[in-house]
Amino acid sequence: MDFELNREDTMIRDAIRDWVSKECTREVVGELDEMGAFPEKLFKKLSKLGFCGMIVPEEYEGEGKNILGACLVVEEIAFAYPALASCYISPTFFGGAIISELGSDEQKNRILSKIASKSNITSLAFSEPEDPDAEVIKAAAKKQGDGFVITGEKAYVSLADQADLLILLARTSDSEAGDDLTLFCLDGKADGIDIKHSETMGYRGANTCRISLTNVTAEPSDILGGEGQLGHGRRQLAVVNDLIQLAYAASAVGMAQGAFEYALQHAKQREQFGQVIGRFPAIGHMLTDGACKIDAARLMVYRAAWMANKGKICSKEIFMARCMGAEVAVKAAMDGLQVLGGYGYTMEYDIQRYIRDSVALFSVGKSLDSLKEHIGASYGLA
Amino acid sequence: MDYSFTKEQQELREKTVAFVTKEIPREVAREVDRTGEFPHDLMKKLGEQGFWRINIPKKYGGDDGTILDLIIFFEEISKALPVLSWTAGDVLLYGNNILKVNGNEAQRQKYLPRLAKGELMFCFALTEPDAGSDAANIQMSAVRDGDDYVLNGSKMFISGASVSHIAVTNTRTSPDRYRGVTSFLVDTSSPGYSATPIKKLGYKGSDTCEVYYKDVRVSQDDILGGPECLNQGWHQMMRLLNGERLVLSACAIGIMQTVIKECVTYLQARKKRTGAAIRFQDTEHKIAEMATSMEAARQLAYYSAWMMMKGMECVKETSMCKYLCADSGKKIALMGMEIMGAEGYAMGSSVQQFFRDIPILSIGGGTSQIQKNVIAKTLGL
Repeated sequence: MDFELNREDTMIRDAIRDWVSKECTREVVGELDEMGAFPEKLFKKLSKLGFCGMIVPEEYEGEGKNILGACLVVEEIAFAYPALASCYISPTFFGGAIISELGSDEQKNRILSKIASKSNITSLAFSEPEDPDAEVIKAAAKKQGDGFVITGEKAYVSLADQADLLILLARTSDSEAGDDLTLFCLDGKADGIDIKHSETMGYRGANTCRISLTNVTAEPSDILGGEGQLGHGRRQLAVVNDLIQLAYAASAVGMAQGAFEYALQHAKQREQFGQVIGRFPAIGHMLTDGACKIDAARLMVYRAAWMANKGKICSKEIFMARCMGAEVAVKAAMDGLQVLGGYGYTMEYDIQRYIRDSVALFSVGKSLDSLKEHIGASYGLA
Repeated sequence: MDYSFTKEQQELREKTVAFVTKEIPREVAREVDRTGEFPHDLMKKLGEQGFWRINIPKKYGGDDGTILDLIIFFEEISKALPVLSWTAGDVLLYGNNILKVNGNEAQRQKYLPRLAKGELMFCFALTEPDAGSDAANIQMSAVRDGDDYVLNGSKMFISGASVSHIAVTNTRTSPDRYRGVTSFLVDTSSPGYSATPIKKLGYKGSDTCEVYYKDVRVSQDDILGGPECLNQGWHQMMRLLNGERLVLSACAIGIMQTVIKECVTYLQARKKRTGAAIRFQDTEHKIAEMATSMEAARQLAYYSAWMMMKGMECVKETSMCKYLCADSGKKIALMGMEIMGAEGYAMGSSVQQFFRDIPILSIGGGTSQIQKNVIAKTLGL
């Protein structure tokens, strides 16, 4: 067992860390968070680094299949600006990884090189209003001639207002009772797609959106993986879900580290009762406890990413990392606020942003409850 | 042991609930949070309906209420709009209570009738940039000049500082840490006094400010309790601590109850929609745990209030209460965010608003770490 990152991954991590420290300064991120708009300029700069092709095969102008590398990039960006990490996850994981894994040859040819070279935003439209875990899909794709017509409502779709590609889950059952679901690859700007931005507590800039679909047309070749995948949406979702959750697990670790270091810095400077407050065990031990847990979560993410790189089945490991990551990120942020005291409660200081952003980890992609069900299933508990 | 509330306490609760139901629907609470503006309108209505008389002695036209009455009021208000209980504190606590406990007769005569009518608000200026938990480290100077004192320095995180008429200002009048603090009733319209509100994560609308005092002049008669109370400020403050801990506990309790109520409503709807009852057992258990924690915290608050009303030594109980209520509140709000998931994360959700409000209660009024110091000390440590 070698716990060192290899040379390539070390270079990736160092490069992105350096970029983040120069471009995602506290002032820049604070301003962008306050505006709540998509960080277009910053994302363009990030795209130029070429990391969005990290999970795109080389024949499509990508870097190959370096899932660990992609996780490192997510982690380093989330350290400073989780919403931007989401913007990175979108082309890299949602676009690159999903299409590489599940796309038809035609889709791979059409989409992948654009992702690698232009970092096209991809959104996943699975959840529906009142159904964040996408359990009972109502949006329907009805057969019309050779193709389909899709009507319905989607909700909690990250970055839909910026998406070039929308991967959408719709019901294609003949009957109401059937559970045939299909994933369609749609143009984010297609006719009949109406997108409304929903305001959330955090992740400002990586806007969560509501989508109304009215008679949106789709060809059989738009089905993810091609016509033969009609009705196989649930099975494909299982593969997709692994990748999404791994990306968010990496984001969680980055956020946790960011909150931890912010609080640590304050604890080493702030003096009360004649000494630096970090040296009071009540504060110091709170921080070290957090550090232990963050380290554990990080190792879980790296282990899961390593397994994914090797093509091993690792749903359980990914979901465990995701659950642990959420717990650890929220704890680091909440403890961080306690360490920063009154100052931490002001908008001028950054710990409040880590709180607002980390809580999204309770539900982003899938709720923790639903993930625990999956983990239980792997132990025969379903 | 009699756990029942008196008729008057029941009536106060019903009156407060009626006010909340009528005047603070969800849209109003959300709007205050969105704009961050001090809720002057609601404060005026509270005054018109007689709530400022709750803890004013009968002698000054009040209802002669106790700490338990304050807890009832703060709890019910906090269920709908936590910040309103803080702004109400600008009358009930920093005005009424401080004058009752530490003022002299002249000061009570001067201010209490006006406070009862809703004409005045007070704020409490203690904390400084370098004196948070280490409150005794305050440096604001008050230098004698004839019959007056001249104040210079700055204060931080003073709620109500820019809207209040009087700032109960704690200054250093001698180098002795605990015997060199003097409290002054400073008229905020005095030249040299300036307060700027700070933007916060939650409790928006509290008018929590940075305050600067530049050569602010006060008469020695404005020393809280009169000129003979020079250097008595720290002891005066100690008398207020138990009560402050309990009202902040009541704020946490109100918040907890609303979070739990929202989660129950949410889960009921979900169960109805998906029909698979047993799948939600873990969530049901979470809510059961939340409700249990809340109830335990609530009972400790009422018990501590009873001890205080009986004149019993209750530093241990009020510290335990403040720590338990604030920290349980945070834990419950976090569990609430987890349960409500994506829906709870939207800005329209009341759970995210209450989640943002609650963490300050583990910090203001003595952090949970300070409370634990106090508790440990009462245990002989």
